[in-house]
This record gives sequence, C-alpha cells and structure tokens, in this order.
Amino acid sequence: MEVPKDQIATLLEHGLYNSAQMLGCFLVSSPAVNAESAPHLKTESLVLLGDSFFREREYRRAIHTYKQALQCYKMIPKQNMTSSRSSLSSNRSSSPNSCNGSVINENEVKFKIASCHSFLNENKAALVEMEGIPSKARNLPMNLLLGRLYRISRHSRAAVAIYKECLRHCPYVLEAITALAELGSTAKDIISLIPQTLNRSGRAPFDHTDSSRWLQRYVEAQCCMASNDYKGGLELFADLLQRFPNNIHIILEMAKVEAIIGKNEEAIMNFEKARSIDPYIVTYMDEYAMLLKLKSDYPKLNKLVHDLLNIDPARPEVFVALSVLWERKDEKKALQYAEQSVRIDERHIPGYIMKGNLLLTMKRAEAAVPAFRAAQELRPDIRSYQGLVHTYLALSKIKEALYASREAMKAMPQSAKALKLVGDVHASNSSGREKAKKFYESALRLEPGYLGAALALAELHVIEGRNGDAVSLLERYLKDWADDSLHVKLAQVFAATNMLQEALSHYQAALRLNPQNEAAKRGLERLEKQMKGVDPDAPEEDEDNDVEDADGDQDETELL
Amino acid sequence: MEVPKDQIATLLEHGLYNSAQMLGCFLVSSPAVNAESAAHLKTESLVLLGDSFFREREYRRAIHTYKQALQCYKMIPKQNMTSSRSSLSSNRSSSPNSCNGSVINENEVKFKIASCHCFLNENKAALVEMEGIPSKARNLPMNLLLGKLYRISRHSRAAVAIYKECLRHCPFVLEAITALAELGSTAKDIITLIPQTPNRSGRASFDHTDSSRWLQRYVEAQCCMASNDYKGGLELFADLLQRFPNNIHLLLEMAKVEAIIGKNEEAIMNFEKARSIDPYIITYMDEYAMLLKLKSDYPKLNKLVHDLLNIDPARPEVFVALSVLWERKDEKKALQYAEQSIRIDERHIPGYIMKGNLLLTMKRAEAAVPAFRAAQELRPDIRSYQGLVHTYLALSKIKEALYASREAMKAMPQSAKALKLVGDVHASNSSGREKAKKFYESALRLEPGYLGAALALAELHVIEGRNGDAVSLLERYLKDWADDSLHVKLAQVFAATNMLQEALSHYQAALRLNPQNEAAKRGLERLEKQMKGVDPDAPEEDEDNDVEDADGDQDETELL
Repeated sequence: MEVPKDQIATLLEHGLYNSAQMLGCFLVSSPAVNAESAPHLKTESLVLLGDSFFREREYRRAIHTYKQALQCYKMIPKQNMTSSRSSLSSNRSSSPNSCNGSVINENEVKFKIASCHSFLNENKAALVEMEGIPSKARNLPMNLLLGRLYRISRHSRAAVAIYKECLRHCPYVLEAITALAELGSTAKDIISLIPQTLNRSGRAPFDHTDSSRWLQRYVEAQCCMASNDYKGGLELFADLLQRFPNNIHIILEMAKVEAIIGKNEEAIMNFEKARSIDPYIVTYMDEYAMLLKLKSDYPKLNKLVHDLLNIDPARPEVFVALSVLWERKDEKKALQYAEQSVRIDERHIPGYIMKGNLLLTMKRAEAAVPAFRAAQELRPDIRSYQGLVHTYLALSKIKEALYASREAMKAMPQSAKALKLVGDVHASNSSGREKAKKFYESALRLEPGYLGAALALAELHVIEGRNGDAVSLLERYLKDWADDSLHVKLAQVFAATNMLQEALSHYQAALRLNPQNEAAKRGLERLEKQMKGVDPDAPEEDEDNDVEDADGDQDETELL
Repeated sequence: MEVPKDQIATLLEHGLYNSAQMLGCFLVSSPAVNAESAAHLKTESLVLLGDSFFREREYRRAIHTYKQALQCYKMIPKQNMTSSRSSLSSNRSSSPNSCNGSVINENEVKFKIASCHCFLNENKAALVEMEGIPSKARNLPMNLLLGKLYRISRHSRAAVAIYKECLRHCPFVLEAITALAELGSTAKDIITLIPQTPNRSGRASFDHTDSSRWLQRYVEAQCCMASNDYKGGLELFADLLQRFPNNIHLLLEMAKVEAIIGKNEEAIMNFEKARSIDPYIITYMDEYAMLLKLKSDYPKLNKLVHDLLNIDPARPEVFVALSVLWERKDEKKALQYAEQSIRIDERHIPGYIMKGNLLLTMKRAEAAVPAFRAAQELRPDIRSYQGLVHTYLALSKIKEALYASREAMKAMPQSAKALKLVGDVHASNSSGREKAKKFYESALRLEPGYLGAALALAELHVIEGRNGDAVSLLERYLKDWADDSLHVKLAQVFAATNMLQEALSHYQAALRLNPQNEAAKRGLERLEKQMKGVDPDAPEEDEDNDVEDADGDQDETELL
C-alpha cells in the first residue's frame, strides 16, 4: 500500500497531529483505499484522519470526516462483518497483515462525533449521537458525557441514573459526585454506590478504609453545599483540609462558598492562600474579583485582572473580572464584558449575576430580571435571589418580590440572608414595617454577625423615629465588628439629629478603616460644610446620588 | 494510601481531565505523599497533576506544577536513584507494590514544560527547556519541537540538523519535509534521509517501493515550491493528484501557490473543490477570500466569511477574511482585523500582507514597510516584494525600490512578476522608461499571458505618445483573454484620443464581464457626460480617486 495506515496511528500516538493530518489526506485519497473491494480500509482511514482533526481541535472537520467513515462502514458487505471486530485502538498495534480483517468500533466513532459537538456547544446534536449508542456498549467516558448532556437538557432523572452508573464503575470520578449532589441526591444514596471492595484486586484493606473515609466526607460535604447547608459543608471541608493541607481544590471550594454566604474576609484569605500555592489559577477568580471590589481594594483588583489576562485571556472568569474592574469607570463597558463572559460560557453563573447587578445599577431593571433568572436556574444562589428581589422592588412589583423572597427562604431555611430578604420586601411599604422588623430580628437571632440585617434594622428604627434604638443597636455591633459601614450608618444617624461632633468622629473612623469608602467621603464633605455654616446642598449634588464620579488621585492605573 | 495514584492515571487515560485534576489536588496534598521519606511519591503526583492541567489547556498551571515536580525530583536522596527508572507511562501499568521504586523521566517533564511554553507562544523559554535535554535522550516529538524552535529563533543550521534526524527516525513526518525544503535543503539531500530498508520488519518490498515513489515526488514538489520554481512544483503536485484524487492537502497546496503566482481562476477552482470535499476547511481560506475580492465576487466572499465565523471564530485566517470583507466599507476596521490576525499568530503571512496593503491604500506608506518586511522574512513571496516596492515608490525612495525589486528578481529568476516589478521602478521616472519597456517585454516573453505586464506596457506606450502601439497591443491580448481590465485600459486610450464610440463599447464590455468593476463604472459615467457635451469634471470627483464610496444596490448583506 502506498501510505501505511499504521504510520498515521504512530504519528497520532506521538502527538504529531499536523503530519498525521497531511499523511491522512494521502491515505484517504490513495487508490488502494478507494478500491471497490476495500470499504473497510476507507472507513478506517477516515477515522484516523478524523482523529487528527479532533486532536487539532478542528471539530467541524472531524465531525464531517467521522460521518463519512460511518457512511462507508454501512456500505461494507455483510459477509465482511464476520471478520474480526477489534477496536481501532487495538488495531493500532496489530500487524499489517491483519489490516484487511479489522473494522472500526462504530460506537467509539459516534462518541467522538458527540464529543466534537459538545466542544462546539451543540448539545442537542451531541445528545442525538450519544443516544445512538446502546446502553450496554457505553463505557465510563461515554456515560459521563451522556450524564452531562442530560443534565444540560434538564433530563435530570436520566442524568442521575447515568452518573450513578459512572460511580459504580469508578468511585473517583469526582465530577459525578458533584453533579449528583447538585441534582439532589442524598449523601447516603451516593455513598452506597461506592464499591465495598474496590475495583483493583490485591488491594490491602488498609487502603480501602483510608480511601473510603475521605471520599465519604467529600460526598457529605458536596451534598451539604448543594442543599444550601453551607455551615455543615464548610465544617466538612475544613476537616478534609486538615487531612489534605494545601489542597487547592478544597481551598477554592471553601472560598467560593464563603464568598456566596458573605464571609468575605475568610473567602479572601482562602483565595489568596490558593493563589500563593498556584499563582496561575483562573477558576473562581471572578468571585475573588467581586470580593476585592466590595472591599474597595482597587490596587489588588487591578493586579488580579492583569495577571488573569496574562494567564488565559479567553476564559469567562477573566471577563467577569474585567467587568468588575470597569464597573466604577464605565458601566457600559463593564456590561459588555459581563455579556462577553456569558457568550463564552452560557452556564457561567457569575457572568449573569454581574450582568444583572449592572443592569440594576444602570436603571434597566426590566432587563435585569432574565439575567438573575438565568443564574437562578443554573444553580440557586442567595445572590441571584437578592438580585431578583431588588429588581422587582425597583420595578414596584411587590407581589413578585415577595414571592421570590419566600422562594429563597424555602430553598435556604437556615439562611439569615433569605430572612432579611423577606424583610426588605415588607420594609418597602410603610404598612409592612412591623413585619420587616420581625424578619430582621429573626435573621439576627439566626446569625448575630450578619451586618446587613443589623444595618437594615437600624435604618428601620430611624425611619420610624426611634433614633435612640438605632444608635444603641449600632454601637453594640461596633463593640464586636470593626466595620466601616457601621460607622457610616451611625454617623448618618448622628448627623440627622444634629450631633455633628459625633457624626464627624464616626465618618473619620470609617475612613480610617476603609479610605475608599465613598459614602463616608461624601458624608464627611457635607458635614464639614454644615459645621462651617455653609449650606451643604447648594453647590454640589445630593449625597444620595450613588453614581457620582470618583475623585481623582486614584492610584490604580488604567487597564485596557 | 488515601488517594490511589493509579486512579489518576486511569482518569487521564480515559480523558476525564476534570476529575483527574480534582483527585490530583487530593493526592499532592495527602499525608502519605508529603512524608519526608516519600519525595518520589510527591514528584510523581505532581507530574500527574500537571498532566491534568496540560490536557485542560491550563498551561501556566501545568508549567508551575511540573517545575515543582522537578524541584522534588532533585531532593530525592541519591541512593534512591539506583532503583527502577521506568518512565511515567510505564508506571501507569505497574502494580502498586512497585510504586516506591519508580521515578519520573526528567526529560519527559522538561519536554512537557517546553510544550506548554510553546502553546503560550513563549518560544525562548521553550527553547531553554528543550536544550536542557541531552541530545541522546531526545525522541521524535522532542526533536520535532526543537526543530521548530530553532527555526523560529533563526538557528537555521541547527534546525536543519534536527529535522534531518526526525526523518531518519520516521520518513512520514511530512512537516519536517516541508520545513527542510523551506530552510533550503535540496530534494536529493532529503531523499537520502528516507531509509532504504523500511522501519518495520516483514514489510514487503512492494510496499516500500510504492511509498518511496510518491514520497520522493512530494519531496521534489516541496523543494520546487521553496525555491520559487512554482511551475515545476505545480506539475509535480498535479502528478501526485492524479494518483491521490481528492487529496485535500494537495488541492490546498496547489491553490495556495496558484494564488501567489496569480493563476487566480485555477486557484479559485481548487479552493472550491477542496471546500466541496470538506466544507469546514479554514487553512488558506484567507487566500481564497483575497481572490474573491480581486474577482469582486462579494456574495461569495460574504458567504465564505459567514461560514468561517461559524467554523472557528478564533483562527487568524478568519480575521484576514474579515479584513478583506471590510476593506471597501471601512478601512480602519479592516486594518484592525488584519492586526488581530497577527496578534493571534505572529507568523501568519497573509495577515502582514493584508496589513501592508491596507496601510498603503490609506496613504500610510511609512507604516507599511515593516509589515511587508515581516511577511518577507517569514517566507519570501512575490506579493511581499510587490508591496515593498510599491511602498518605496509611494515614499519616493527610488533606490530602495530598485534594490528590493532586484532582490525579487534574484530570488525568483523565472518570475515574470519580478521582472515587471523592476520595470515598475524604472517606469517611475521619465529617464527610465526605455529600460522599463525592456523589462516589461522580457516579462511578456517569459509569460505571454501576464496581463499585468501587458497593461503596464500599454500604459508606457500611452505616456510616450504611442497610442497606436497601445491599442494594437491591447487588442492582441483581447483576442486571447476576456478580461475586464484590458477593456477598461483600451477604453481609456480611446477616450483620451477622442474616439468616444469605441471607448463606450469597451467600457460596456468590461461591465458585462465584471459588473462590479469600479473603474469601468466611473469611466462610463464620465464618458456619457462627454458625449452629451457636459463638462465631466465639474460636478463630481476625479476618476482617479480610488477611495470613492461604492454605489448603492449592492446585493451583499452587512456582516458584523
């Protein structure tokens, strides 16, 4: 034969895909392969050529070529079917003499086509291919892909069944554990799938015991997280971290959850720890960017975005981080970046949350609803509920807001944030203030350190004229938490009751804690004018205008 | 051990990189691996973790992890070095009992680090890693990578030696053949590298003879192309195509060369043939886009760009095609796209040529020089010489233009285009017209069908007042070639000598051949005014203004 088929297989095994592709073009067009009597050679040649396209990520060419291979396969006379049906990978090691007798593994080719469609985000086409493979013929990678596709297309029960099959096959497919937890399986259900005797023979019982123990804890942790029992989940992860110190996967998972539930300092510490171990992490770095923004730590945010752009400028996390960076400077640009991240990965939750919050800030509440809904459908997260409720309130849709906040409370019964959210809805009209007060107090009983609820309760006190109660509440919190927003609120209460000296000292305390606090800066400016007898409202904008441009003298440099 | 190392290897073999990565984080942080006495376990674990990052294309994380592995490797006490040094891939199939004795293959890890740097376009760092591998330890993929790196860093002699070593190892590494040809090796030198006895035992001599024959023809063809003997190269490729019909690689190579030398119709036909066989090709589709533009076939160009964006919107060819598409509508946007293609791949020749031509059109000749120089350095191409010469002429740098055109003639002694280029330089000043005439006539003797030279010669005749000679030359060509530009030139000559009826019929003939011909449209408009006795210069722009906006009624739709 002019072009030796096994040479292409050798080039593929060496990773020399470019040469394999060129040689493959010779093979599929050679006279021997195109002879009438040799459709099996044509079929195998096309699969090899398709493999070279697949490895070079030319997915559409690979699909086209694999499909031609299947067409040729169907034209092989049936008498040839009785010959050896060894798989293509086995064929690579066979001698040339047996070439005439081997045929492709049709299901493997379908799996490759489905994988290509999947890489192209064509999930429906991928699912069609996968469902053409009989269930008994499916192997572990096939099942895992099928589970993902079922999940994406919301066939949850089918997805659960498939993922369970994966774990029966191999208990270390950790993404199947995570997927099952998120699809609502219980820890007990998942743990029962882990073989009591592990797959490989000859394993000492000691090994089994050790593996089984940490794996079970991991399953329990993931199930806690999925059912919004964040406290329990974090405890389990912390326990695992004791055993596996510097485990980046666990550190990142903990930091992500801490970010979601508002334990910002702990989350930042863990993100920084992960980055010190591996400076090239991109996963969850958008969550970290959001935290730095909340902390007004712009130099660090600037540095983070710069690093991310150098690591891999095409990941969705990078665009969310860029969006966070540009939020203060140019909202439209920030929105473009958020939309870009969602275009890159339409299942990227922080992209939707960022987009929704930006639209809300830009007074485009109507457009924010679908963004928060998209985030919520991918995975319920207190932040998407918060966004949704505040959007409905901005649209004066009280009924929808109440419904959404109750949904949050039902999904997260132990969440102080969900309780506070219901309180926010009631607080939005005067007749609901008493109810709001009760919800805020319930939130604080559940989580005494939840500053958001304390601030909201203080605000409610002020609205209802109970300034003394507001002051004593805030001062009590200041004993335990050095937080600039508490100082700002207290300063505002003092200013409103003409206790200017006290207001001044609290604004200054807030700025000592966080020099970037915009509300404190504006409040202090206004107060200093008042103390000089100048009318603070005359020459400048009202302090409630939150979109006022930042002062100059920022030490961050422009990026992009 | 808590985390079985062989399970990660299994997950990697199945392509389940995400789970392998998570499990790898557990492995490298587990107590057993981090014990003082287990540096070898730590080393192996880090390599496995790095492999999972590599496969997921997190190259910077992979580099960081592999380097940690090498650090651990250096800390292994020397007494352990005496134990088995089996490679990592062998280790994957070993039993757990032998884990304590195996170590990584240091050179394989360095090769992986170099590969990661390559994917990040950090070629210097990659070269440093590769040069840390002793030459005797290098295998085929390592040598191929090293050859590429030496070539990129212009160590051509070292690159030649390495590529030759590759072919001694395996004669079917076609990219090594191409590289050697482009680095100036002769066909004879390359053919001697192909083993006379086949690599595999038991191969029939018939197989060897067949492979050797077409492979030698391929080598000869590539060497012809590399030495700018395009005619000879095309003949050889056509011969191979007879034997391997519908070989996409050959079709594309032929089409590319035909595009370069100006055989536009043949090139278009071959590009279309290749696309009919495989509609998802991207390679060289920017060349095809340029040809469609020259032909003013905008509907097809529009369709091509649309297809390319759907196939893979991140390839440099796509941005060149977008640049071609936008050239008429928005030059700045077109320039941005050309620059984008170069940013994606700084060795993409059509990107530089496109950029240079745009800058020339935009009267930014000074900036066009480095673009054409960059294209020329990557691979001398008549188009980069043309661009360079016309740029120097636009800058009135006659000496540089003459030098560059002579360089072209020396590089391509059989090229009519190069001869015409020298003629263009001489024609740029009145004292050189006689020399220019000789060069144009030499070009036409060499290639009678070269319309560019015929048109230039006709123009020279007109300038020197020999209108009769111009007319007879053009009419002689029109007997053999139905070309709209010939009709336009003839019409212009007739118009200049007040033979308006003849001018009219030739403008109309040009538009019948190519309804999009801008010069014909403008000439016809002007002529019709003249024939009505209206002053054609009064109400409209001069016909020489090439950047006049296109008329409406284009049937192409907007893209982007």
